[in-house]
Formats: sequence, C-alpha cells, structure tokens
Amino acid sequence: MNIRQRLQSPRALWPSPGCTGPTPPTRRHVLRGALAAAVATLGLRAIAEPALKPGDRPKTVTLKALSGTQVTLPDAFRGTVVVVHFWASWCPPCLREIDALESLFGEYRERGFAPVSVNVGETPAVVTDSLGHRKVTYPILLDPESATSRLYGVVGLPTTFVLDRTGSVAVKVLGEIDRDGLRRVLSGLL
Amino acid sequence: MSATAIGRPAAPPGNPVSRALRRQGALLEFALASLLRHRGKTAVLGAVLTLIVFLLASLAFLRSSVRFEVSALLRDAPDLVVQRLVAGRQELIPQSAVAALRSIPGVDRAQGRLWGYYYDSSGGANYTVVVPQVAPPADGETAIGAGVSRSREGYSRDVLAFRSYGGTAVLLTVKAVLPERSEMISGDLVVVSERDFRTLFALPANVVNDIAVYLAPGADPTSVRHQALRALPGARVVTRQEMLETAASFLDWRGGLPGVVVLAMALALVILAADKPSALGVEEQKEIGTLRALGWSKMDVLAAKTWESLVVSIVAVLVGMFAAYVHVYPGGAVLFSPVLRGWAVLAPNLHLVPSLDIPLLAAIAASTIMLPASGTLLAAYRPASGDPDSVIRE
Repeated sequence: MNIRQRLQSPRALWPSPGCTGPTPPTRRHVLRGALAAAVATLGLRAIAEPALKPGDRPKTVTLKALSGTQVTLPDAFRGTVVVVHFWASWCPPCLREIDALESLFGEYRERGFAPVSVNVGETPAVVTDSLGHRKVTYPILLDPESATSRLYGVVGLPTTFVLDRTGSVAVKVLGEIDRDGLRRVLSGLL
Repeated sequence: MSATAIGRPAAPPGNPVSRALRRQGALLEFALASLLRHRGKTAVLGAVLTLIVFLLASLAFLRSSVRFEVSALLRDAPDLVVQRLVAGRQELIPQSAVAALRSIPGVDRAQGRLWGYYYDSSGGANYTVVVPQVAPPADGETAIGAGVSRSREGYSRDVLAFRSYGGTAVLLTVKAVLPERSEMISGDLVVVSERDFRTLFALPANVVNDIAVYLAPGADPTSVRHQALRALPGARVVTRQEMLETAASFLDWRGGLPGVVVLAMALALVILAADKPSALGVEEQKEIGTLRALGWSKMDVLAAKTWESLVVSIVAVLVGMFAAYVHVYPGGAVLFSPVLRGWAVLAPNLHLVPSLDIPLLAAIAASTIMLPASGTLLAAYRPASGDPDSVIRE
C-alpha cells in the first residue's frame, strides 16, 4: 500500500469513537454523511497538493523531532543544501537510505549538507523501534498525520527532495537512492 | 386524434401507392396516440430497450476501437520476431544470431531488441523497460509513460531511482512524459539507453531479448522463416500474421467478459420479445376487440400494433447508440473500463479513436427492432383473429 492509499484510508473520515452528537442521527443526517464521505473519498486525490517540482519552494512547516525539539522546515536550514527524505518503518529501502544519509552527513556536514528524515504516519515509539541500534546524528522528524508528505505531494516511499541553498527544490528522487547516487545528486550543489 | 384513428381507416383516393402510404400514415398516427395513452408502459419498455442497446453498442464501439488500435500498432511490427526457447520458455538470444539472420536472402535488416519488466516496490507497479531501436535517450535519461508519471507523480526533471540486479541505484532523469493519447500502449513504459538497460538488469553485452527481422519488398515470410529455423535450430519464429491472428482471437467476442455481457443482453432481448405475448394486457386486448368490432381488418390491427413496437424500438436504438457513443469516446467508457481493464496501478485512461463497426451496429439495431416487433405481432395475432365480441368480454 503506498502513501496515497494510506492517506485515503476511510479511517480518516470516521469520527473518533468517543464523539457523540446531541441528537440521534436522522435518515437525512445519515444520507448527508454518506454523501459527504463519498465526495471526500472521491475528491481526496483531486484536492491533494500537487507534487513539488524542481524550482518550487516548499511551504514552511514545523515538525516535532524524535529528540523532542521543534524543527521548522526548510527555514531552520537556510543557506545549506537540505535533503528531505520521506520514510516509514515498513519500507526497508528507506532504512538503507537513512544509513546512506548518515554516512554522507559525516562526510559533507562541513560543506553545508543537512539531511532530515521525515517519518510518515507513525508514532514516536514505532519510529524509535524501527531505527533499532542505528546511530542517527541528523534530525528524524515526525509527521504523524501525513500532512507534510501531502504538502510535498509524496505518493510512494521512499521519496527524497533535495533543496538548494535558496530553499528551492533542486531534485526530486522517486525510489531508493544509494550513497553513490546521492553523492552524484549532491555533487553540483555542495 | 384524427377520425381515421378511431374508426376504420377509410380507403383514401389517389393511386394505390399514395393510398397505401396515407393509410400507413393514419395507422402510425393511431399507434402514436396509443403509445401516449399507455405512456407508463411505453416508458418502461423504451427504457429497457434503450439500456440494452446502450450496453451492446458501448461494447461494439469499445471492441472496434481496441481492434483498430491493435492493428495500427501491429502495422509497424517487424515481419518476423525470432526468439530463443529453452524448455519452452523464452531465453536471451546471443547477438551472433543477428548476423546469421542478416545473411538470409530476403532479409532487409535484423536488429536485436532489449526489453524487460521492472517491479517498482515504491509505486507497487510493474514497468515495461525498453530500449528503442530509433533515437534512444542518452545515458542517465528516460522518457516515461503517462501511467508511470501519474502513479509516481513523476514529471520532467524528476529523478527515478531504480535498484539494479547488482544492488546499485540506477538514476534516470525524466526528460519527457510520453503523450497521453498513446497511453493504451505506452502507459507503463520506461524508455532507457542500452547501457542503462544492461546495468539495470545486469545483462551481458553479447545477448539480446529477441531479434526483429524486416524483410525486403517481395520476400516470402514463410521461406525466410524456414531458413531462419535452419540457421537457428530451437528458435521460435513468429510472423506478423501470427501476431495479428493472436490479437484478433484475443479481441474476439469469445475473448472474455464482453462475450458474457453480449450473451446476457441478447438473452434479455429474446426474453423481452418472447414474454410479450403473455404481457399483452386486458386493456390492450379489449382495444383490439373494439377496433375489430368497429370494422378494422385484422391486417390493420396488426399493422397498428407493429407500428407501436417499431416506434419504441427505433427511438431506443437512436437514443441508446448516441448515449453509447458519448459514453465510449468523450466519456472514456467510464462504466466499463474498471471491469474490462481489471485492477492495476498503471491502468491506462482510455482515449480511443472512434471506429464504427457498421455491420455489427446494424445487427444490434436490427435485433432490437425485429425481436420486439415479432413478439408484438405474435401477441396481437390471437385477439385480432378472434371474434371481437368474445375478445372484448374475455
């Protein structure tokens, strides 16, 4: 199941279990609700943010890091080359990419390279568990409601955006990229 | 309603032909008035017939357009395709076979082809990766089908990262998205250079997937085929004619779900016609008896009833076919495509070129008009032939 399918899960449309209205629903309410749910389900794809393209500037978002701090993307990394890497624990290639980014972070940090890995739709406990014994020194950000991945137009994992020093998208990579591939992508930007 | 529509149609003056025409005009006028009197029943019958025509005609439009697309595709196919089989399965064929085929008299050119399938776990889709024989992209670049672009939100200047059989990343910068008009055949394509293809699939330089053979004008495909089999024992040689026949049988009415739908609709039409005799209401029977009592001949009664059936059927055919045309062409066969295409991440949007199979459409129209008319005639025959008094009292 890709991210878009997960985002379109009907679960997002249900009210929370504890939520009850002041009056019991009439048939009209039920019909209206069903119509609204159908329109919302069918229309989600249409109203989803278009995918960011090279040259676009992503909107500013503030996300909580796994360490507990708040990180504002991409403003917190102004003047650096930022790699925004969307991932999830159920995606083995994503974990291989985290290893590659960690390795390159050590290598290129002094030259203004700043990776962030944005976890899509999972809890801090799951994220921590999936990272296992990995030592990740760059920020792991949390996007539990998938709002940021929607904003970037992510439809499959892994997806990686490379922002240049002005904060614009320089490259969008769809699929798994290894260390050498990242090195090639970054070569003209650092 | 005119007087002729109530009393016995009078024999109009003039020559016999114009008299017959005016008589039929009067009967038609009576039939229209009768349909209006039974407007509820007319509407239901018309709606059912229109739906049947709509479904049958939609399938007919879809079938002829897909056949047109396939034949257009195969028009540019090579005269022969040579494959290597091992234990009945296709295997890679050595490049050296290309030279062997080129030396056969009648062969204009022979070219190794590279194509394969790549499963993209990120998108959950299977892509067809090809190296074009003409104007391949530069190394590190690709052109992708509209389906691939849509499923991954990948556009020009984005980078597709594939994992090669060797475990390394193959990065392909999207240079173009193939036109949506050709999506039926190009929706899942990823077009790459030969070097990228061989890296992606870890394919040695001395093998290809199969060999496309183009014949010189006037060369006999059968003769070249025999010589190719002599030069490459164990190879399988497929002619363009065989490809056409395979496609034709695949798209034939027997080729799956459309056949079942057609059978069901045809059966519905037959049941509708066969059920008509028992469906003739008491009111209609009394009306027939009254007309007979007023002096209408049996033939006039049957003609008026036939006109009623013909009017409903002809309107159903016209409306049903128009609706089917709009449904299949501007509408992209929106009702059928999920069923006929099956489920796929890369299911193409249907942008079909209008293609009319006139004999088939004529057969649908004739069946829709003739079957209910026959049923009506059978139903009306008994009360029209009987004693008017007993028909009215029944």
